[in-house]
Amino acid sequence: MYPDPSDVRAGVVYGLTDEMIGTLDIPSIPAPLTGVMNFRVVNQAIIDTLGLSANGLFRMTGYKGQGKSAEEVKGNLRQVQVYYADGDFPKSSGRQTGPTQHNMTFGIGLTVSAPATCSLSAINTPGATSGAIATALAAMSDASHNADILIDELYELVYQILMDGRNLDLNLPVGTISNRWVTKLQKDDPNTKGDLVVLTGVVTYTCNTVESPAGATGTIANSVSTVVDIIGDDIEMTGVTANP
Amino acid sequence: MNLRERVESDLSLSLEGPWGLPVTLMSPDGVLQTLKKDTTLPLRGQILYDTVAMNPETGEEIVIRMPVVTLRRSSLERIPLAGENWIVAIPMTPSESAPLVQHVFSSTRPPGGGASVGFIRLYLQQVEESV
Repeated sequence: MYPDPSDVRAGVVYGLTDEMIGTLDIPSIPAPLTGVMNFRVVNQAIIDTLGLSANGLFRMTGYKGQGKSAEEVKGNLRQVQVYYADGDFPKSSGRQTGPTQHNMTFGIGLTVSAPATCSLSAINTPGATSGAIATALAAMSDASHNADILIDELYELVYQILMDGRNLDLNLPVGTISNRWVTKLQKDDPNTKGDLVVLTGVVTYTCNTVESPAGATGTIANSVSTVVDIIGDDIEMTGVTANP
Repeated sequence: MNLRERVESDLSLSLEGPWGLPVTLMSPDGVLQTLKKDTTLPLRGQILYDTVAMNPETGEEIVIRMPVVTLRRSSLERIPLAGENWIVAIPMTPSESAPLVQHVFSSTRPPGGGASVGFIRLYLQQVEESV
């Protein structure tokens, strides 16, 4: 009787009985090891780099949070959020284990809100002439325009900080990241939220790193021995090495 | 008096009566209006301070501050038009004695609506001192 090829238990394909298989020394599979991946380190490094350079001109949030009240991001309370957006792991043929390149993309979300601005002091000056008031009103800057200026300033700040040569490696050990680049600035449409205008955008930041699967490199891989000791077999050898 | 005229006449009660609040308007040419046209009565209008909106991220209903002022057209010296820069002062809270806070028109919702029965809605936005 031929063994069932669908039964992949060790030994079955060699025609061994369940009793014989029970004598095999099959190592147990250890629980997978955990290790910090570099993308998380880089994510935190971007947050730290931007946060240290914010100087009160914007606020850093280190995650992709839920929506904020428009009042919370008004003026210099404008908000920057950093989050890992996606990544590629290019695979070369035959590569199964060991370190692998990780092409990372981070989203840096910007949120600002603004009111309209006007020379209220000129308008509210006692005795101001209608001509002076009309001039002040004509120079009014609407909220969408102000929000646009705020977010453009924020693009400028974030871009200059990230592309500064001193932040080439985000203050990480040399070689942790490479090929960093701000690849895109994206601006959404202004949105009226209550009595303010909110404007959002995204700065796309890409860089490469190397991820090392914990427990794969430098340790002995788990395997099943194909050499079996069959009770009652005089030769005690099976498989490809058998030579009756 | 036809029905529309009756409705317009009733605005003196529904908009400018006890439910109304004091409003001042400053037109683009710098003229301040605090009184009803051709009267010595203060200009009053209906003010809604908050509105219910939906948070698009969660689908929850939220209450947001978005003042909307409804005025009787026949009480105005000049009718506001879209694209004009007006200053609209309304009480900070729904109280006759609350200090007035200045606003401007929303750039995304022009004033209008209700012309057929004689009122106008103004959608307001915060304004701050320019630097």
